[in-house]
Amino acid sequence: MAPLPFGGAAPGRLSAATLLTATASSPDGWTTYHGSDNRSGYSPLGGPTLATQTWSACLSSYHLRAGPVVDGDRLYVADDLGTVFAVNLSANGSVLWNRTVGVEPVTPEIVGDELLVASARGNLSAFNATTGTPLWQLNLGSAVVQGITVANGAIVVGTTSGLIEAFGVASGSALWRQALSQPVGGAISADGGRLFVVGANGTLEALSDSGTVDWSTSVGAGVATAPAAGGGVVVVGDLAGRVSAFSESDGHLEWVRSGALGGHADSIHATPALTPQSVFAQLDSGSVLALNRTTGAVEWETGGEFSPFENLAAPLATSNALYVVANGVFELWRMDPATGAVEATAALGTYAFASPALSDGSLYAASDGGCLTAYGRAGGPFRWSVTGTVSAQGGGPIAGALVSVGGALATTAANGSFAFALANGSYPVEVDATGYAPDLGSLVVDGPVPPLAIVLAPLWTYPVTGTVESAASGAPIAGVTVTLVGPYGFTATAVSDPQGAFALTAPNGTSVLSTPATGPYRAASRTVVVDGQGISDVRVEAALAALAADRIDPSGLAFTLPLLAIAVALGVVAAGELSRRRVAAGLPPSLLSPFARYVVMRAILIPVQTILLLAVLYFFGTVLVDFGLHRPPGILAPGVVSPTCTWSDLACTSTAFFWGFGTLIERLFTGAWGYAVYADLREPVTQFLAWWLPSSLELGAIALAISAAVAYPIALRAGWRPEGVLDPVARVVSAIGLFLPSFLVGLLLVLGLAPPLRATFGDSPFGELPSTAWFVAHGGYPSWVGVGSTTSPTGLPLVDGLLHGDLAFEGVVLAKTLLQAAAIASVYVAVFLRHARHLVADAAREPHIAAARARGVDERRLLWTHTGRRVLPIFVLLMGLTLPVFIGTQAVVETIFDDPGFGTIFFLELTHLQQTPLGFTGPLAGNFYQVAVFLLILLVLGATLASDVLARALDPRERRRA
Amino acid sequence: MGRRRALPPPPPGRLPADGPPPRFRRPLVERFRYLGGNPELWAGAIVLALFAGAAAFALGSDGAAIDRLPLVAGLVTPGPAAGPSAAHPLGVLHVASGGIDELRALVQAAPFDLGIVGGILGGAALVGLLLGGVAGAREGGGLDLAVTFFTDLLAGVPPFLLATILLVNVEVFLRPAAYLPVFVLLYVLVLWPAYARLVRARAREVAQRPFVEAAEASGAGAVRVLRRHILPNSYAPVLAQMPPDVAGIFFVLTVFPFLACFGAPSGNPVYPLLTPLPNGVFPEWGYLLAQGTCHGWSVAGVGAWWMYAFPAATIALFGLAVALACDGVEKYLARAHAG
Repeated sequence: MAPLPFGGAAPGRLSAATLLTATASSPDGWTTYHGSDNRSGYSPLGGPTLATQTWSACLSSYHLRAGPVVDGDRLYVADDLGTVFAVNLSANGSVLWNRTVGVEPVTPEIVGDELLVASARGNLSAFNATTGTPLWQLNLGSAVVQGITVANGAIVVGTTSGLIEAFGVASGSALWRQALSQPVGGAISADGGRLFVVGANGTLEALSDSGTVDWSTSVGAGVATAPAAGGGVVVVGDLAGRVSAFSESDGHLEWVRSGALGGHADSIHATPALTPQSVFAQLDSGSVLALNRTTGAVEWETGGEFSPFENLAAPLATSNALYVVANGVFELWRMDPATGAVEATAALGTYAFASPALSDGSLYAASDGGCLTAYGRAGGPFRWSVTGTVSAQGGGPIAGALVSVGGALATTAANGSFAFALANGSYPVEVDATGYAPDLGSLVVDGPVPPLAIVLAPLWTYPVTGTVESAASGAPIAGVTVTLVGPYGFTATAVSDPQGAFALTAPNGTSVLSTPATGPYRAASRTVVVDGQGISDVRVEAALAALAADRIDPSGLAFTLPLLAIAVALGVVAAGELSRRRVAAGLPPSLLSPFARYVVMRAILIPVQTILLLAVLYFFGTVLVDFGLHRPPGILAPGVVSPTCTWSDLACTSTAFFWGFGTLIERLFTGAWGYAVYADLREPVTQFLAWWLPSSLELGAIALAISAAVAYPIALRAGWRPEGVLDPVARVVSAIGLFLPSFLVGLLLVLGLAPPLRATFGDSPFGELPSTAWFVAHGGYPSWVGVGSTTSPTGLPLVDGLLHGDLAFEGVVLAKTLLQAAAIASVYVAVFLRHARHLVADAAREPHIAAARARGVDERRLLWTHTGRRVLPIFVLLMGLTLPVFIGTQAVVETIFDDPGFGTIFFLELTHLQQTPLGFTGPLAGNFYQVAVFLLILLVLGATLASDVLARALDPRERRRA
Repeated sequence: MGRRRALPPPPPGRLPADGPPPRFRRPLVERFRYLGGNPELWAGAIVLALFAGAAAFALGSDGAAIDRLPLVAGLVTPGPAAGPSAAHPLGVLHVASGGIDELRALVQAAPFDLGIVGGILGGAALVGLLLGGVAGAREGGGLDLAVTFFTDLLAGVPPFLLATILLVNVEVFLRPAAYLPVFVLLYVLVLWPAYARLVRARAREVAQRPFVEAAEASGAGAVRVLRRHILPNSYAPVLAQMPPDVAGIFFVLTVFPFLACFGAPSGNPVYPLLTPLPNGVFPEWGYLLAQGTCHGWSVAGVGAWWMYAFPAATIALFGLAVALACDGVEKYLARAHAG
């Protein structure tokens, strides 16, 4: 593997590249006899457990005695008849192509995209490995022994006639030839720039790349298989059953051992496997001998004699397994290379004389039955252990650094170490640690990887200074924590000083400065981009009022709610006083008269009624709409109803309906009201209510007071004399007022009064509060006017203006409020009059009036005292009954006047109903409509009940009865 | 009950000895006796008759094209504001798609508005009267409980609001041509309990009166008692309730189209069109008023007063006529029953 430096620093990053090197050596594949041209039979990649037979393919009806070779996902194997098969390993051994090469071929050799095959007839053929196209062919005149070697760009073969011949790979052109005094005994090995050739009679020669003899020595017995070379030694197994190790450089004998079990000498016909530590030789008897590679000491030796033939299938080894063919039992064994214990066996069914191939963790065995069997390793390709450490430049290890290799992530331990298991391949690497510049690079793995040492340079930071200010006024905000979140996980915090100033540092790149919601200010954030120099005068502007999900700025309700509480408390006290008086009058103290019980029952029924009404709305608003829009029924029940739910599925349709309705009810009654949107405000519904309910109540109260003040005397007078002038006039005027839409009345009022209003107050008649232009012209927003046109502390603009003594503000607000109230009253008075005059006329005819008149009571007194008090409770009842009309009118008027209020947002969301039907699919707009309907129902039901109670309390007859 | 009239003598030979009592019929001329001294009734009836005449004229003259307002030639896109003139006595009104002759538009709209108002009020009053009357007459019965339940339930929401919500949600199923009839139906659906509630209260009281007892004692069946005695004495609250409901109907028909066209002065919120009308050139007073106010205000400025003044006057006149007629009928009934 070539050294691969980590890539240069990315633009904007400061770190110097770290050089990372890793080396590994391993043949990728099994391309020749005994795996590689050094004939070691060793694959550092792991091998299969043999538990999994991936596939088996019977290719030929002849023996497969030349070992298979593998390159990538193609395997080549030849049968004794002389047909070479190309097999697709990805497709369970299906044959890609086959070619005839001559009888009894030797193990093929793969060179690049060329497949070389030699036969006993002396043919040497080259094919395109992919397509099987014949490239060239030679006839050597005598048989090639055991295998073909490729070294230094030349094809080298040894023949039974004792010739060693070299040819060019591309065309088969003759390069050199060398004669041996005896037939070549086995395949030629190549290692360390030398070729090692054994003679059948027992010589071992080392040749240079060009064919000259470097050294020659005697093995001492006949040799029938290739020597295994590597790590400075050449290991030869001979027919006398000995294993000898010679120095690669000069051929001197390092050691020799005999596999002499019980004095029985045996032959070796298979090339020993050579690992970095050991030599494994299998004797013809089948027993296996493990020797220390350096000393030749016997590590272990299996007993038994179970192979009836010469053992031609060479053993092969991995770092943790040894595979041998046990022909006596027709099996393939996996052995522990350390102990010789048989870990697993796989049945072959017949003899196997071809050496198995081991590639990319899979083992391929060819048998005399003409079949090829593949054993796969469970769990994908072999993974190398890749470890390393991350340390700081000129410092110690970095704990918690994030190491990413090809998408896999690891965090370094306290000592900076990390570990991965990686298959062969090329990986992008990124190392990030807080406070350090990241390091980028790539890693190529094709063998064992030495530990990586990654050194990170500290992140270079620049000063970032600025101030936290109010967005509205620019006033400094002190004591706010400013958090900077920069690239590479860099964070820093600072607290603003009394001048709102802060000082931080940030690395190159984009950082986000943020402040949390503090006091009356919203959370704020902004980004800064550092590019090689510090930044000063950064302004973080926080808008007034709270941000945040369900956090409510209670500026309005904080005052209004206590008032309500006080009212309730007063009511309780009054009830107690009433009770006391009842006792004093000799009556039972219980308030639970039949009427009281009726009231309690109705109060209890209010939520029930509300739920039933909401069910109607829900059915229309959700179920029908879903159905009509061809949406699945469960759209409002995400996570509860499968998205594939269909309308024909009754179970999930009803689940969707009941779940959705249950959720609606639960959320409405528990105040989980979601969000609403008005203009550029997107706030919780509760926030809008907290902002706007007080001002809407203020407007409503004023409009109601005006309406009552106008309608009550007119109704009394008109009803008192139905035949008089006032009655028909009042009726006609009220009818016209009734039918002139409130928006038209409102617009006409705005229209008519706009010039004088502008002239007097310098502001348009629109809106509730003065416009922005007015505020700007009058010295900016005062501190008690906040987001959403809210005023503090009460939320009632008229009251707050007075409290702060801002008379200019008060004038504008009063004018606008009166204008709106007048528009509301013009409609409401008409509605009210219409009902009220009947009541007065009826009351005027009652006997007690006639009796009083007969007693000589003054007519004015009869009207204002007797009749007026008589009809007052009925008027109160009437107000309760017509409250919905009143609320609707107020909503329209607020909308027309562009006055942010309950009515405005209600209408806005009501008209957006189709876009946002009833539902709680998240913090969406559109929830206010449901909340408003809910509140309206509660309000109207409650007001009706309250007006019943109030009417009874005001009725003089009831009081007398009590 | 006032003075009792003597029964007319039975025609000779037509009274069986023990047959059912004769059906009592007030002579027709008697009924007109109370029409005098009732200017409300006359005024309301005459104006309503004029509206009916206009509706009949529109149906006759516009025929199949009645549901589409013809755009004035040359004003396909809103042009300069054209006030009242000989060619256009009430001026030209701008709608979104162009200019229309205002007089013709108002006349053409008459049959639809009479239909909408008549359908809703008639339907709701009829259902409310029947159910409320029966419920009141049989207080505590099953029907009474059901009617009370519905009336209490729906008292929580203004009818115009409920009808709007239901319409919006039902519209997705409908062809535009069906919007208006369905709107009328839905409105009846949400409005009848309001009438039933009033009628029930009155009928409950009437049912206690001596003449009802007398009728029952003389063998009158439940239906006869209801028809002849209870219902005729329970009309009044229905008549009082009708004019505000007319206003409520026009509220829906006017406010939402207006908001859609006008928006808010700040221009921030956008209101989608919410109307039961099937198309943008449908003749309907509320829609004309909304368009007139919107365009008369924003396009032509304050000067285009005729765009909203005439539709508003039309609606107000119609409402006034309904109110007067209701008052007149109430007065008539009160006198007739008082004898």
